[in-house]
Amino acid sequence: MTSPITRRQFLTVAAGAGLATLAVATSPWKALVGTTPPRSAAERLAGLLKHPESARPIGEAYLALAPHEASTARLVSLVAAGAAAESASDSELRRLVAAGVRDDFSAGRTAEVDGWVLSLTEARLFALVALS
Amino acid sequence: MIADAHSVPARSSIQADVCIIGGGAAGITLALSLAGTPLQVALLESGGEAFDADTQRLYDGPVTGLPYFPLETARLRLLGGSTNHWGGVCRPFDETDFERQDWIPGSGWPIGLDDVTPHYERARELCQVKTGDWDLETWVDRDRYEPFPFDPERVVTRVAQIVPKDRRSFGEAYRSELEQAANVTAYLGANVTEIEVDDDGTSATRADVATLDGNAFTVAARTFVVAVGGIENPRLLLASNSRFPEGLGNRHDLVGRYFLEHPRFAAGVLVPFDSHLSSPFFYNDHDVAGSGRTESYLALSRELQEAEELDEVQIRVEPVYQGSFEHALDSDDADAFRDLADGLGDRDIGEVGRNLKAVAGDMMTWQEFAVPGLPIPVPYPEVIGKVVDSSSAELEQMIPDFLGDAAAVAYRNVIGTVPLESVRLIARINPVPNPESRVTLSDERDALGMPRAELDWQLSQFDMASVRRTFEILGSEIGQAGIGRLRILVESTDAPWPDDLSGGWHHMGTTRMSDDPTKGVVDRNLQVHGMSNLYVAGSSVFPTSGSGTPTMTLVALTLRLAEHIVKRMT
Repeated sequence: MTSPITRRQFLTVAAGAGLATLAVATSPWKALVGTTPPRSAAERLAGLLKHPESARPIGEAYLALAPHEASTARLVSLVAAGAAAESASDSELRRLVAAGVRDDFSAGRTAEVDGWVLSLTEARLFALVALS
Repeated sequence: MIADAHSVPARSSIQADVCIIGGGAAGITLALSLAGTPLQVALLESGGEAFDADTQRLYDGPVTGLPYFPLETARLRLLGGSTNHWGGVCRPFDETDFERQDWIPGSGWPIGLDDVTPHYERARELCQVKTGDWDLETWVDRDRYEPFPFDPERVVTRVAQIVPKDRRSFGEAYRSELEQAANVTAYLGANVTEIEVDDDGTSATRADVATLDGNAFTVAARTFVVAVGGIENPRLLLASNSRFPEGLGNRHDLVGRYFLEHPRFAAGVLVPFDSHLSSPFFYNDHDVAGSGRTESYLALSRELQEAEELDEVQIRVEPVYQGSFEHALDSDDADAFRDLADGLGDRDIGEVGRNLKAVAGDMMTWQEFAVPGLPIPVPYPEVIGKVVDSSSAELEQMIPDFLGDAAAVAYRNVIGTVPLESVRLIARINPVPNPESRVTLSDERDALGMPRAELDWQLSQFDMASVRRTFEILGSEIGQAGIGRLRILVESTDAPWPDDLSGGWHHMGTTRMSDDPTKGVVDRNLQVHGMSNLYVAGSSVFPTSGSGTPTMTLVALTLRLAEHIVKRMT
């Protein structure tokens, strides 16, 4: 059972880990870091988030709503939207996720996680962290 | 001329052409409009020129259904009526407000915007609204105002103007004009307890008047206009039942039904990515270069509202600060003030009053230490003085102004330096007209022996569903605009109404307008169906609550009524 996401947890993710840059195409991902080259696309996607400890409960809450997505491979394919995630560079992954978030909101592809209106892409990114 | 009802000879009968019952915004507007005509006008106002507790208690009455403000404090009973505690927020209705919306039962007025527009300019003048320009772009240019960057085809920003506090009272503003009008006599202290009718109940013949000190007389007239507010209008029609038990205009059991408010509650929280998010949106109640104070709010575009088949839900944004400002609010001195703000949805006047009194003396200190070194405004000693000396009922009436002036001005001066914690989003609903939401007569009687009003306020679950869907859409727009993320506080479409549900002191719908006597109490000319010479003025005639605030529109409708009466009687 997931615990409610606190405002502090969400703020930490939003301010420290890049929800703003997820959503703003004009400044994509510059606040995000990925210092250690990850071995897999899943790890590298999860590594885009600076504060995984805050992203995790959001991801867990999302997975409680969408248990059928509780698979790393499935989440990678959904977040990367069919792109060749394994061969994509970190910067390409960042752009991909940023575009996904923007397109989600434009198309109304949102998930409501503990009341928060999130893009499906970002919710799944948090879910990847929860599974990592 | 202004006269004292206590001095009218007992059991005498005053003759007039037009008898206006009620000296609030509608009654005064009508009297001023008839001034200088050949018609002799008697205006009967229950109160005097100052607040009187005994008179105010005539408003008392039970509240059932959804929680609501105590009826004795939800309006004011003195010359000028509820404009004496009016928030002063004005915006006219738009074309859509008058149209039938197929998905909203009971929507649609028998008149359109074209019928009201010719009167809006004069209504604006009477309400002392600064300009007749309601276009957002004008205010962006003039006030350096910055709306949120939403797609205007989905989410729009609207601007309302705020009448300066010292100009809101119709009683103060137009007392001298009433006094100088040779053909108008305003009787103060004159409580109408019943409107008498002829044998077949189709014509009003006289108004029975009583004063609290025991005087009684009647006013006979050719035309009667009931203009005592959205709760008292049905009360008086229902209580005029000595010959016909159902009261006046109530052959189809519609008088008092369809009570409408503008319900509001905190329905969402926006967490901004930029803690210094566009401050002008929040504190645009400022008056830059004398262009007037404004208040803005968000709403779905009309096209999207129609496509989604929703109530209109308007959204007010209220900043919540962190850091030094929050620290100030956490201090002992400010605790009472915060409790006050938190308690605004609470109907316990005593607690609110105690908090106000407790904090009044600390306001200056609070403002000074909120952000040291910043130019903090004068802490409104005259307001504080009023607070300390006022009764609890008066305190409740002052709350909007008190917060609006003291807190908002302080916010304005510290904004830009104090980071935002979040933004509270307040939903204000234009609800579905609901026949079960109603004013009836209570078994209790007031000091004059008149049955008290009983309010059973009801909303529809469709209203809640509309709030939730509106906030879902707004959440997407906020995300797309890159502003932050929205948390919806309404858990589901069938969620119960939250504890902070309140109204806007807007009482509407209880004598609704329709050309069909089986669907409305008054016709398009505000004449009571089945009555040859009885009219109703005020927001009780609104079939729906509209996207604007009610005062300017009810004044415009009253101006239209005046035109009709003059044409018919002269």
